[in-house]
Amino acid sequence: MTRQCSQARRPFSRLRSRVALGATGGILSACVASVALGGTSVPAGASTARAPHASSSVQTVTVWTDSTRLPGFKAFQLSHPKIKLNIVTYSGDANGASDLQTKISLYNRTGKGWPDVVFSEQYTDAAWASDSQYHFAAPLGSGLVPSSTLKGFAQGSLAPCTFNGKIYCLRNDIAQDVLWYNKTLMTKFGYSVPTTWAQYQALGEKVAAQHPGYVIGTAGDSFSQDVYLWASECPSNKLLGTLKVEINTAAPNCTRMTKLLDPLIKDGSISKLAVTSADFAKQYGASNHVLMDVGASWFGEYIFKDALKTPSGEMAAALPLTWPGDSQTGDIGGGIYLVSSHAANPKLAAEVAAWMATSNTYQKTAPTYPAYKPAAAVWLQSVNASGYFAQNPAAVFAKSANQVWSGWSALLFSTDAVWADTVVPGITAGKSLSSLLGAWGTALKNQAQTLGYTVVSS
Amino acid sequence: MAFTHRAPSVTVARRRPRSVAGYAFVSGYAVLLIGLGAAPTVWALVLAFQKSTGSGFAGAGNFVQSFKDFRFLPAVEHTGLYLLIWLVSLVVLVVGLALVVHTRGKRTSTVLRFVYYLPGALAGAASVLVWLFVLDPAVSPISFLLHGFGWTSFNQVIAPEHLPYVFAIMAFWTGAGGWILVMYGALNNIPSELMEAARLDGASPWQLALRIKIPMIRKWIAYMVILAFATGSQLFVEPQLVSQASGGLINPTWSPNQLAYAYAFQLNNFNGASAISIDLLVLGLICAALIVVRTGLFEAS
Repeated sequence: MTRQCSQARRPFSRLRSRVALGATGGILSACVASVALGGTSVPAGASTARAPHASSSVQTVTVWTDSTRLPGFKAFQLSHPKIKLNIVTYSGDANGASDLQTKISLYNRTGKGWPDVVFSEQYTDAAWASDSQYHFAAPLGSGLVPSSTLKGFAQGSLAPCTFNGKIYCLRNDIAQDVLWYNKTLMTKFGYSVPTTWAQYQALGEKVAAQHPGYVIGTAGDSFSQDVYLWASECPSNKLLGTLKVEINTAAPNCTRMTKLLDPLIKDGSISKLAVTSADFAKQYGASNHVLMDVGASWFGEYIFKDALKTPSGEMAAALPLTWPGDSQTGDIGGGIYLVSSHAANPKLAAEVAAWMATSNTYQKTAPTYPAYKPAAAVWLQSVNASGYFAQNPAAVFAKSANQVWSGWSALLFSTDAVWADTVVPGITAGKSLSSLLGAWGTALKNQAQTLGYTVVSS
Repeated sequence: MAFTHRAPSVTVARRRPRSVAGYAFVSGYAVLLIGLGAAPTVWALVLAFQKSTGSGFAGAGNFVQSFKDFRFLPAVEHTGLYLLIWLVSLVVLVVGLALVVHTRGKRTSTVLRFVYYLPGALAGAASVLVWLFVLDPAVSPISFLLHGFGWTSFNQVIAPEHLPYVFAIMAFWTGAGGWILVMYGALNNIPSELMEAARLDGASPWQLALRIKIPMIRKWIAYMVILAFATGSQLFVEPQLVSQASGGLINPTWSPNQLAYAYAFQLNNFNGASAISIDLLVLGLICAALIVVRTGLFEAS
C-alpha cells in the first residue's frame, strides 16, 4: 500500500520515521563514514554470499517492515514457532523516501548486514533492488515461490515486480483509484454520481457556483499524478525495454486531463492542498466539505474515516471515471515484499514473504486490498463489516482492481518525488497544471538520463 | 567551545600533571577527529580521483561530471543564497545580542544567556522537527503570524522562494545561542581599564560598542564566520527532513551535500559523491584562508 496511509492514520508516525532517517541516513558524515567502511576493493553490488548458518532447530529470518505491516509479521511468528523472526521496523520507504536504498548500498559496500525479507510501501523499489548494480532482490520465479502461487496474483499486479521476464517481488496490495463520494451530501444537493471525466468537470463547475467551499478533489498531493494523469494514460514513464523509457508529457493523453482540471482548480472545486495534509483535514474535513475525491481503495478507511473524520454511513465508492472509449484507472502505492539474494536460507525467506502476501490469516485482516486473488475474495466479504460505508464498496473494488493502466512503469527513481518538487509548488503558487507539464517532463527526462535511461519522447 | 576563551587566564602551578591531563582530555577528541574527520577526508580524496566504474585514475573526471550535472548549479545557488542570509543575520544579531547582554545587570544577563542558549540544547534533527510544527499553519502556535503573511497551508510556507529564509531561521535558532555565549565571554575578556578609560573620556555606550567592544572581539567574529560558513555550506539535515515531512515538496538535491548523498545512494557513485564533498571542503578552506589573512586571526596581538 500506500505511502501515505500509515501517517494518515497517525499523523505523527511520519515525523517519527523521519527522525530515524535523519539520525541514520543523514548528514555527510554518514556518507563519508560509509566510504571509509567500504573501500573500492568491494565492487558495489558484489554478491558476497554469506556462509549458511549452522543448521539448528530454530532458524532466524530478519525482516524489515513498516508499522502498518507489523501485525502481519507478528501473526506469522505466532503460527510458525519453529522460525524465529527478527523484526525490524523502519519507515517503510513511505513518501518517496530512499532509506532502504541507502541502507542496501551501504551493506553492499560492507558486504554484510542485509535483511532477508523487506516490506516496502513503494513498489518502485523493485526497480533498483533487482538492478545488477544493487543485486539485492532475488528472482522469485525460479523455485523460491511456487508458480501456482504466483498465478494467484491479480492480473497485472506483478507487472511492477517484473524485469527482463523475472519476478523480483510479491505485491502486498493493490491501491486502485476509485471515485469516492459523500452519498449523503450528493443526495442533499440533488447531484448524480458522475461516470465520465466530462461529467466530473461539469459537476465541479456546478459545485463551485452552487455550493462554494465544497471540493470534489485535491491537486496538492505528491501522488496527484497517480490520481489524474495515470488514469488519463499519460505516457510519462513508460518502460519500453531495458533502460529505455518513453517520457512525453506533451502528449494529448496528458493535456486532456490538465485542461479538464485547470478550471476546477481555479474555481476552487478542486483544492490545491494535499488530501493527506493537516491543513486539508482542518479546512475541509472538520466541516465535512468533501463532496467527492478520486483516490485509492485505501482512502475509505485511512483518509475519510481516520484523517478527515467523515461521519459513518456517508461515504461510498463508485467505479473509476472514464474517458470516451476507455476505462483505465491509476493506483496510489501498493506495497511489495522483497527477498534478499544474500539470505542464508532463501527458501525460508521466500516462505515468509509469500505467507505475508497470500495467507488469509493475515490478508483478511489487512487494511488494504490484497493483490492475491483468493485473499482478496475473503477480504471483500468483510470490507464493510463495520458498516462505515453508505454502501458496500466490494463490487467496485473488485472490478477496478483489474482496471489499473499498465503503462506506468517502476523506474530507477521515484517519479512521485519529481512531481512533488517540480509541479506541486507551482500549483500552490497558483500556476495552471497545463503550464507545468513541460517542466515536469524536463525534470523526468533529466533524472532518467542521469540514471542511464535512453529517453524516447514520442 | 563556550569556555575556550577562559583558557588563557587560567594559571596552574603544577606543570606535569596538567600536561598529562591535557593529553587525556584531548585524546578522546583526537581519536574522533582522526576516525570521523581526517581519515574519511583522505579517503574521499582518494575516491574522488578514481573512476566510478572500477579502479583507475580518473583525473578530474568525477569533478567535471558533477559540475555538468543538471542539479549542481541550482544546488549551489540555493545554498549560496541561504549562506548569505544566514551569515549576515548571524553576525549582526549575535554580536548585537551579545552587546545587549553585556550591558545588562548580572541577573538579567544570566537569564538572557540561559534563554539564548536553550534552543541549542536540542540536537539538529530534533530542532528541525520543532520547526515543522511551528511552520505548519494548521498546528502552529504562531499561526496568526503565518496567516499575516497570507500563508494558510504548509505547502505555501515552504514555497521554493521561501526556503533559503526558512532554513536560515532554523539554523539561526539552533546555532546562534552558543555563539552569543562565546561573544559574551569575549566581551568579558576586554580589560576593564580600557573600558574605564573610554568612559572617562566621555564615550557613550554606543561609541563604546562600536569603537572599543566590536574591534576587540573582531577575531572571535572571524572565527565564528569561518565555522558558520563551513557548517552552512554543508547544509543537509534541514532540507532533507523538511522534504520528507512535506511528502517531497523540496527537491531532494536542494543543497550540494544532498547532491553528494544522491550520488552515493541513488546513483551508487561514491566517487562522484566524494568529488562534491571535496568541492565543499576546498570552498570552506578558501573562505577560511581569506578570513584568516584579512583579519590576522592567528597573529598574536
